[in-house]
Amino acid sequence: MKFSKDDRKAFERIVDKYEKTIFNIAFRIVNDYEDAMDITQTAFMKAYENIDSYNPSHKFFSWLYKITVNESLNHLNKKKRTEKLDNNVAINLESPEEYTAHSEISRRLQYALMKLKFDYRIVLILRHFNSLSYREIGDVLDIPEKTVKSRLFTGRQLLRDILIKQGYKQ
Amino acid sequence: MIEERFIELMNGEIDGANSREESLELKRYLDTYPEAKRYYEDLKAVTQMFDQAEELTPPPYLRKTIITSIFEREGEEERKSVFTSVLAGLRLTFSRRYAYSFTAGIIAGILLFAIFSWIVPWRHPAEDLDNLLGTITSGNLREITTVGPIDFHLPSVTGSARIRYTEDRILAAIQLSAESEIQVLFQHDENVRFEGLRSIKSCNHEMRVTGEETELSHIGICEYIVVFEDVHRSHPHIGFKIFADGSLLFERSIVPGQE
Repeated sequence: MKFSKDDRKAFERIVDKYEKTIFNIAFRIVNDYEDAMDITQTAFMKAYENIDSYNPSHKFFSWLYKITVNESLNHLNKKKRTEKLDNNVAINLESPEEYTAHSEISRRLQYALMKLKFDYRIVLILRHFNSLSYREIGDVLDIPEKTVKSRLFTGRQLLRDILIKQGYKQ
Repeated sequence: MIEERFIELMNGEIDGANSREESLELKRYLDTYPEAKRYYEDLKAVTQMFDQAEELTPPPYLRKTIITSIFEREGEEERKSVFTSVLAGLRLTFSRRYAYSFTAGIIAGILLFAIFSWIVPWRHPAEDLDNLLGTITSGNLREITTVGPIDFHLPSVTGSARIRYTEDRILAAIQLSAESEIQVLFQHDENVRFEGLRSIKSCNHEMRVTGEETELSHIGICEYIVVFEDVHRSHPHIGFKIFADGSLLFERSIVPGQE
């Protein structure tokens, strides 16, 4: 199936509905505003190109989130390789105004999330930012519900430890 | 040390996944063990941080970038696929054998064109006589003397006339629009003979030819060429008159080279 001109409208509605969510997932995973924009754009492009492979018996957002998570992971891996190749690369601590305007809590949480391994970080993001159930998280990540729970519980504990180490108190 | 089961119940409580009984069991446990309660409070605080963290707003141009990148690329791919199909088609049909035939055809065409151009002399560009096709002109069309155009803005007649003298012919190209019937009269000496008439814009006309006069009567818009033979190739003068209702409206003696 290819989108015709009429479908373009339909796809624009999909972009309108999910753009912000996709952008936020990407940002929480990669912690970079510009990269999050690139990932969002690529995720929608891939969704459009591979719409044939979407199985309507699954929820559309699960499929779209899966693309986003995979794209973010690819992006992180690519970045890791680049940074390994160039040890002198400067870490950009400056964030765009859109992000620096956010609360101290938001930034602290993001910092702590970035300290976590990807597997823990992603379940916490999907559970707490996107309110996905264990099963939905399992669908997005292609892992059993049991593994979701295990990673989620461990992730919370690790996050607590990091935040306490940072001296954060409620 | 907190029991593993109660850590699970704590997380279940945070996620709203516990049954009523599990929630009560956890509550009793937390009431009994302050260390476990502290741990549970910490976990709750961590998860509450997610609620307090604001969502980021993507830049307003991102939507447009996404839509444009998808649908422009789609258009490009369609164009590419058309181009690729054309190329593929050419690849299928364009074998070496066809290439030789094609080249031979081109060369033969160029040669034929060159021969034809050499045989048939070019007409003088300033004197395009294409509109004389069908008349009985002959001789050397390169040497032409033209008189005119003579423009008429008479009370009931408008139009123009152009007289051409070739080596052995006199061609009078007339274009006239008349509200009432008019007579166009050519007067010449015995060395000039009427040869033919070609109507370009057809109209009802009558023609009268005598030894030294050729007369055309017509009404409305008419365009025609009258051809005379210049028997001695002397380029004689021609008398040209226009009458309407018996009255002379125009008179001119055409002399080649005097205009």
